[in-house]
Amino acid sequence: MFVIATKEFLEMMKSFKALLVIALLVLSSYFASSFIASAPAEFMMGTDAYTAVIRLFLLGFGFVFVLMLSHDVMSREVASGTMRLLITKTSRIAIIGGKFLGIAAFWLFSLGVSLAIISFFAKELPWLAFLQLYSFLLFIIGLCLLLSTLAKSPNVSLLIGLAVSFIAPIIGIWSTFSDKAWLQPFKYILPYRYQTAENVSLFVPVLFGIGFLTLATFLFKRGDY
Amino acid sequence: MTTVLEVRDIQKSFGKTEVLRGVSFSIEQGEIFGFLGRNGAGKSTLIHILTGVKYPTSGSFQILGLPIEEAKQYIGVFPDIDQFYNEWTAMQHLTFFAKLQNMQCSKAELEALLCQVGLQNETKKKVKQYSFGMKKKLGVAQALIGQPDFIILDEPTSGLDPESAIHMRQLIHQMATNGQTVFVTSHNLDELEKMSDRIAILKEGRISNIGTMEQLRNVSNYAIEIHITLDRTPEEAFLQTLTTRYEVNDTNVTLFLQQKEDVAECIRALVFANYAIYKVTQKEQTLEEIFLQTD
Repeated sequence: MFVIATKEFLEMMKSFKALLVIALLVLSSYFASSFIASAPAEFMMGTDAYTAVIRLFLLGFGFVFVLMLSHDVMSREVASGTMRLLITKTSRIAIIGGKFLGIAAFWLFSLGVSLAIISFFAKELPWLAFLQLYSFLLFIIGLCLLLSTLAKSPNVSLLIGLAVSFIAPIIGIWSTFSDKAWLQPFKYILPYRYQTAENVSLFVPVLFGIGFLTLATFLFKRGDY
Repeated sequence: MTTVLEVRDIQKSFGKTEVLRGVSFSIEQGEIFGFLGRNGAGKSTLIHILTGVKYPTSGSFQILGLPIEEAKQYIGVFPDIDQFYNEWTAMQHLTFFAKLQNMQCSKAELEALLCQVGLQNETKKKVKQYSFGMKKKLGVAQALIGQPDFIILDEPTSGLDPESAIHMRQLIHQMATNGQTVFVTSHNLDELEKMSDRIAILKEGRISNIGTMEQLRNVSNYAIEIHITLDRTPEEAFLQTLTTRYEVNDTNVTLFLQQKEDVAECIRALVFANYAIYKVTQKEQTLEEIFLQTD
């Protein structure tokens, strides 16, 4: 599992994706913090202006980032035939578990470094925001693995990824602030409302992420490749 | 003798199409087991099942007495050539796969493997720059990581130049000499005949024939062919007393016989009928002829 995780992590790091993500988070945080500082307190969600920008950025574009970088994490290997070779060498659980850990490690690194850099300007380490945001990202990573397992080609996973990246933030944010009955399930399923949680409920998105991963593993274990 | 592979009544369907219809056989340690079948006969499907890539619809198999998930570390699989990471070098592939199978292989050991298959001068090239033959060699090298007990080779020599093909065959013999068991498929029937200890012929999802070449010939209707040159053209009625299948071309006669013992009987009958025999040559059925006869 850790061999696959290392491969996945290093491949993401090598392709400048990490640099791009960190640069986007840090630069947007640095330049937009003064604008956010003058906005209503709800936008701050209990943190400093720099962290608030990173949070808003990820709430709006987190799905896009994760899904566009990793939508083909499984489907690419299936389409290229390398999945068959991997399956002959190790267990299917090790493959999918390794992929999850690799992407999770990439985002742990990217988010950690970004928050560490802005903590120099903010003069504090935003631990709670880090946990809330990483929990949010683990939800998306689990969903990404599930979608990539369901799609048998990178084109299909890209299409599904784009659709989810567009729809999930709209419904997630809308449902958080809406009382409409049909939106209520999304309020609890999607990871947005847990962003202000300061107790154990901030880890609810992680449970959903693990749930998606479990479902993906179940499907992957049953499938012919 | 240890049974390395035991396949019991494996069936596989894709929708309503039955690809494998109850395949059973076993392979003993140190054997080179040839597996033969037309395109679409189900060879690749069976290999995918034996390597854990696909699941059988019914039936079961064990490798070294273990289910596939536990046996993977004892198996070396030669894949299709397009199952590599194009941006990686040969050494990166071997290092990754060795780690993936929890094998402690030093760099020198992996270099020796590449040398064994003739890729020692190509270690720094990316796989996307490799020729078809070089990818085949890399496939064999990765299948040999950690000296696995059971090696599955799917058409290892197809597309190779004659020199490389000979080298590959020597390598396969070397594997068997080392006590490794080899399951090999090939469309080169002559090669498979020379190389294999036993051969199975898969036809329409079933094993139609299995055994040593001698055993395959024995179950064949006309395993032996003798060419005889006589002093005069024999009468058809006389030849019909010898065998049901024959060909006559003036004084040259070809008799198709079922078993070796029939040869002596025919010669005796010809001599007894006062034919002078100028020349007799015997030819055993080749694998190709046996294979074509299974149709």
